[in-house]
Amino acid sequence: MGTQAYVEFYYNDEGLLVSCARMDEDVEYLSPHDTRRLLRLVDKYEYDSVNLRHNSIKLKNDESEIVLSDLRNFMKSGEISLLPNTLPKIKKEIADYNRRIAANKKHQNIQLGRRRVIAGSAALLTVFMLAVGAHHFGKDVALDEPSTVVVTNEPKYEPNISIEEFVADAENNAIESEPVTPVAPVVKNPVYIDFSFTNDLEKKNHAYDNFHDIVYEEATRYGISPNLIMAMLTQETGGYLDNLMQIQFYSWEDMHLRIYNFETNSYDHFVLTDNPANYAGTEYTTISRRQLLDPRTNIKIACAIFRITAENMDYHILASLQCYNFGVNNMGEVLNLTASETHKTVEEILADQSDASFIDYTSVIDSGDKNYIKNVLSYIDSNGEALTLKHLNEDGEIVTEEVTVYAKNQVKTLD
Amino acid sequence: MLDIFDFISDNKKYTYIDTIQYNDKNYVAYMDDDNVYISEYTMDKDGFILDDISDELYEILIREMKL
Repeated sequence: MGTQAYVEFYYNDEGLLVSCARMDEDVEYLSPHDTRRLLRLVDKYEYDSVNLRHNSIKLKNDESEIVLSDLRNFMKSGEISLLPNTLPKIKKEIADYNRRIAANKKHQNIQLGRRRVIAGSAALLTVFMLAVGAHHFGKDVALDEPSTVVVTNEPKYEPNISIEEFVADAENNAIESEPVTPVAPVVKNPVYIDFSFTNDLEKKNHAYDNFHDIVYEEATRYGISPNLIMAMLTQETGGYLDNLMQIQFYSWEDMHLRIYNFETNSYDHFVLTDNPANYAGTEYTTISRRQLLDPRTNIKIACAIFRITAENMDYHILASLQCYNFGVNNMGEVLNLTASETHKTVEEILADQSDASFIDYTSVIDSGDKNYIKNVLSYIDSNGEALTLKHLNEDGEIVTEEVTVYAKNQVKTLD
Repeated sequence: MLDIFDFISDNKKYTYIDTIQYNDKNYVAYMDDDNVYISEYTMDKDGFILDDISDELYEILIREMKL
């Protein structure tokens, strides 16, 4: 990634804002007190890019990458107001994000009458406060000027200490309150894979800007973390081709695709077919070759196919990912070889979400993409990103599988 | 849409888009499943109040907010 400091702000189990700073191979966890001080320091820097991703904000410049995780809690707590210098850029990013969604809606001045916004929308109050606070700093907007970026009149404050120096000296800075034992984020099933983050930001942003909303809705509906499907879509086509997820119609033709819908708590049924009349009166929604090219349908069917591969891979997330590309039979061959070479059973490998040893044995298959997992992961947003997959256990209860993926060459093992 | 930008008014859910200050008044753009709305907003101790605007002002602010 070319960054020197990577800092993530997040909320611990007690609801306190804490942080984790990674610089080269060193990792430091800061207390809530030092975290708030670091947040104020972070606000003093200029950022080349501000990106809204799922439930987080990412700020980047040449020397650092700052992630505000759990944006919902940031806004609910009001702690985002600790970033008055950066707030206008965050507000613009939020506006741009929502503006893209609004582009396809009607624009009619429907009169709704005087009404109140419920004060319980704590996050929204913070969003409105962003506007009030930003306008307090800014100048009035005239018709002939860009209107939604507020320019601060306050002088820029140059930080006199780097993030590295602050973190190294953090304990000495904690003089105003009792130090609180820092709590590391709960990381489930960490796995370290030898991959690199993509430099093709144009492709990544194109896919995200055009299809993130659909991916978010469909993936969430079918119990797959949206970041995984988004990374797969980016790898498959970058959103530049009609068949977004590169689904092979003939491979799945007339096969019954049954997928659990976690919103309706029932199963959806699909079938790709050239003969829809064969399914008249059945519970199956038929999908033609042409319909498969519709973005939402394509992503929906991709989710269905991913879930079917996951059922065959005992819901091992990374194995399911490779299986999506290889197919069940080929992936079975890979797993059998892996089991033989590592002296484990296939069941043992698939029972451990952090066991990705099969990646070393994908070359046994001649077709498909042997590096599919690494290629997809190159498009995830941040190091230490969690991928999740829900399914029903034997008792009909919802179980969430999770794996946390790290790029092996970017971070020291977190023990 | 991310639900962190949602709010409730008159028992209906809307999603915040952006705000703008124009002629010393504050306006907010928001949307539901079908339409984009713009209202003047004011704050009191209990939260926010939204008021309708004229069609002419709506068109001006739609343009200014690049909606």
